[in-house]
Amino acid sequence: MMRTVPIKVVLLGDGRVGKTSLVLRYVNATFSEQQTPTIQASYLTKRLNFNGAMVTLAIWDTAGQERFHALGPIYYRDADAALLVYDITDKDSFDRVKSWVKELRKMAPKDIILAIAGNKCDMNSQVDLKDSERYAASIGSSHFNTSAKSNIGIEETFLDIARRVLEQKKALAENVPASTQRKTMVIIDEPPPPPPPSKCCS
Amino acid sequence: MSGKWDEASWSCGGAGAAKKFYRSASAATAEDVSAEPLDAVPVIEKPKKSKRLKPDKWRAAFDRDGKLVGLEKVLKSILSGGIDHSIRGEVWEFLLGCYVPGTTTEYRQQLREARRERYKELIELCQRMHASIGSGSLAYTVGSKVMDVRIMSKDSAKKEAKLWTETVNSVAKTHLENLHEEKAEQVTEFSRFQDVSTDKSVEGSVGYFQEFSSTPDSNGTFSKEESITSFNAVYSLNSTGLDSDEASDSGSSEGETDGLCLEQSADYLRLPVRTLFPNFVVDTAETTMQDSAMAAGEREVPSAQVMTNSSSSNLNSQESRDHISGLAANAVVNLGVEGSKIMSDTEKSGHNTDQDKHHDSVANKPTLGQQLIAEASALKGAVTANYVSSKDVNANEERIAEWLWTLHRIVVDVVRTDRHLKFYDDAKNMARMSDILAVYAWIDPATGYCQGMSDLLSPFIVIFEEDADAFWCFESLLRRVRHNFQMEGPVGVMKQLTALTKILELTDLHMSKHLVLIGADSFLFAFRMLLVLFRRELSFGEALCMWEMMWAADFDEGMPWALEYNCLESLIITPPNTFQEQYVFEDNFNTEYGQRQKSPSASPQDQPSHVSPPEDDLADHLSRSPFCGLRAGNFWSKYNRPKVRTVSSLLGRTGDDELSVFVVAAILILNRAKFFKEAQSMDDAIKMFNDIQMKIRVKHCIRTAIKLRKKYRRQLLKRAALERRSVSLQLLSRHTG
Repeated sequence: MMRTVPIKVVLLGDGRVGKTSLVLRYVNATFSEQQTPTIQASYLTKRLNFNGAMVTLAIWDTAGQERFHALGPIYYRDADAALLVYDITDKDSFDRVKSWVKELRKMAPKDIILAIAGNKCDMNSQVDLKDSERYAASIGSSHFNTSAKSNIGIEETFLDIARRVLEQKKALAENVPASTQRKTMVIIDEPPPPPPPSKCCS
Repeated sequence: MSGKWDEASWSCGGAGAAKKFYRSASAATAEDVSAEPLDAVPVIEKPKKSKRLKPDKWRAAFDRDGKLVGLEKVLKSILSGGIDHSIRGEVWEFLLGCYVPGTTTEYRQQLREARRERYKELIELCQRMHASIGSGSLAYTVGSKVMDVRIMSKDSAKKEAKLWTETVNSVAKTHLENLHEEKAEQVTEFSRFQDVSTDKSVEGSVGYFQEFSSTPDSNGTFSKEESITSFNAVYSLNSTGLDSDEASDSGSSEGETDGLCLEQSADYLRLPVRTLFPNFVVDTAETTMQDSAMAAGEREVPSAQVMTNSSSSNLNSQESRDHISGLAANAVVNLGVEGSKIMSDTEKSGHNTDQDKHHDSVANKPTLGQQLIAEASALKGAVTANYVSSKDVNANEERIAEWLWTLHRIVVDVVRTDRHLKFYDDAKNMARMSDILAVYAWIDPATGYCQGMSDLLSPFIVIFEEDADAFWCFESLLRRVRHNFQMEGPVGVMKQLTALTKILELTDLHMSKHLVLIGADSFLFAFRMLLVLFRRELSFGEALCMWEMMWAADFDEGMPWALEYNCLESLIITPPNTFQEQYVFEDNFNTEYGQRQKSPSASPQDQPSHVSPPEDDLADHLSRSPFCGLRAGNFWSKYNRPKVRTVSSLLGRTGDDELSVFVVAAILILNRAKFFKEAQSMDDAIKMFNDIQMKIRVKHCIRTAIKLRKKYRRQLLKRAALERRSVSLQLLSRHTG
């Protein structure tokens, strides 16, 4: 029996872009136009069988309202992956994705996997798709067009996240000896002794 | 006011069904919130023994004049069981400080009328910006996201606005300075300008123009074609004017725009045009767009002259002239964006422009923004012309764009607030909610709209039949919690969360230690509870009970005055004569809280002086940030906080005196066993609170919270005494040593 790999995914993005709807569509296969605005966060899990590996996605859905931005860190601090959601009918929400990326680069775990989802793709886009794909590529993230309403691209998004996190974990596990080697090298590389205090003034 | 509440807005399934729910409600667990029956009648514990405040008891608390004298008893009664729904509205108004217990019925009635009147005015004001306001239908179709009314994103909009400012100023400057020497040349340049605009700027400027000038179609949504037409119409004004002066080579544009009737554009820009110029004090040292527009009116600039002439056949004299110059200025401003390159050339050619000044000062475009300020100042009663200097006009244009976008966000949230209540199946009720939020967002731009506000507003919509009453009551609540939703500054809840740490440390060390152990002592899991005051954790009815009990426990006679202090400028009401007598009360309060500086007191004679802070400072602030419509008190409190914090404890700014904070602590303590067992990490704690796994019994929680607060205060005193003693002991030992 294989053991289950837990993966923590956090959803970030502007308010009203459809984060909660994405998760609910994915986990519960439901959709409501009247999804209550998220104030704090909600937490849902989904078990996956990924090429024989059992994976439990722990999905944290956060409050998007800019005012509650300060709550972000408590959710992404130990996340394996962040799914940045924007609304393709709202340019500002894409800018918000960019600012999230900046913040994650600074504050989140360094190896955090990023994925970007342009939600509401059943509607007319106000955002240049090629631009956003280019942007996603530039930050090493994948980009998906999703629609929670029409159930487009959601499965793929989460599978991609799971796949990349698993790959990374695998690579990390293989690299362990290498990293310890590097560590010893670091120890060798001693910092130069501080210069002796000058005694010119007496 | 809420007498019919039971039948009209509450029990959708009839009394029988409601009664049925009574029983199931008491058995229902907190997890059932999402499946809450629509006709939930709030009952906390067993209905039979209910100690709710009943109408008869409530009526008995008033004396002959209608002064609320039996307040003590009332509060006690509320604390032991909440309020009967039939009187909930009126009682809430007192609890929240909308009305003061010591006032007479007659006085309150007058005040209510005045407030309703003001609300109506505000609705009308907002209606000018979007026709859906006050119409009983939502601004956008439910469920379908229509659009971003702004063409530019926020940042680029700001940049462009800045660019405009510079360009427009330089345009104006150039024009005026050239006026006498190089008239002909300048006119040619003006037309060159227009050429550029026909080629390039149509997409850009039309977009921006659309926000301000287009009229909503029958659905209340903006129609693009219309606005483009209106732009063209405006454009035609300008170009035909120039053409007939034969100083222009923009013949190409004439073909398409020729014949676009002036009446059409007059229709689109129907907004108040009469008072455009007289209301605005222009800094003469500053050459602005307005100068040139005025000049145009005085037939100094040929193009404008012709325009006026050509229009006079179609429109009525004075009004139309103002109108047209407004339009012209508008068009020029729009053109200005694209013409910036040309203008920067002209600028280089010898005019030393003070760039910084241009940055600060804002183009004087007599458009909707200006008109609305004029309206607003007229509304205030005192026309504060100084405020409406040339500087904040552009800011106001931006403000409208921002507000329209806010309106969109409001609608998106309104259609998903409390939708489990049947009450909101009626789109009219959703529209009521949207209206109130939109009005609030307009009068308090520093707050605007933030998610969570709709949760707080919803009960007021249900309880009050009159929108105006709901608005004022909701606004009273917001005065206490506004800091949670304002765009700048820390979220007030964070302070309360910090206070929670201290509270548990002093009252329940065991719990406090556990929280530290699992890394949850930041209390972030309680954020939602404090932000929307338990609306998400409790059923609708339970939350209402929780609210009124908390307000009753926190009731303070001074509260209304403390809150008055937080009044928004647009809500200052010039009271009827009888108010004089009432405000003696406040004077007492004033001396009591003597250091209240720049008190925005409501005594009518004082108002003007309160409303206008020293001009220098004001101008200084204005140049940095748009005057945001807050009255002096708030304005100052924003910049000079320390000085005005005299009633902070009343407003719960320290975070550790509001009962809600203690209620959170009480919930933790009452669920102690479960929490210790299941919360092994911060994530667990968040999960427990998010999924509402805690048992929350309103009355029990309130009682525990009150006890906790007493205990906490005792401990604080004790600790302070201990500290004092240890300090004096130290001093003593030093002396003896």
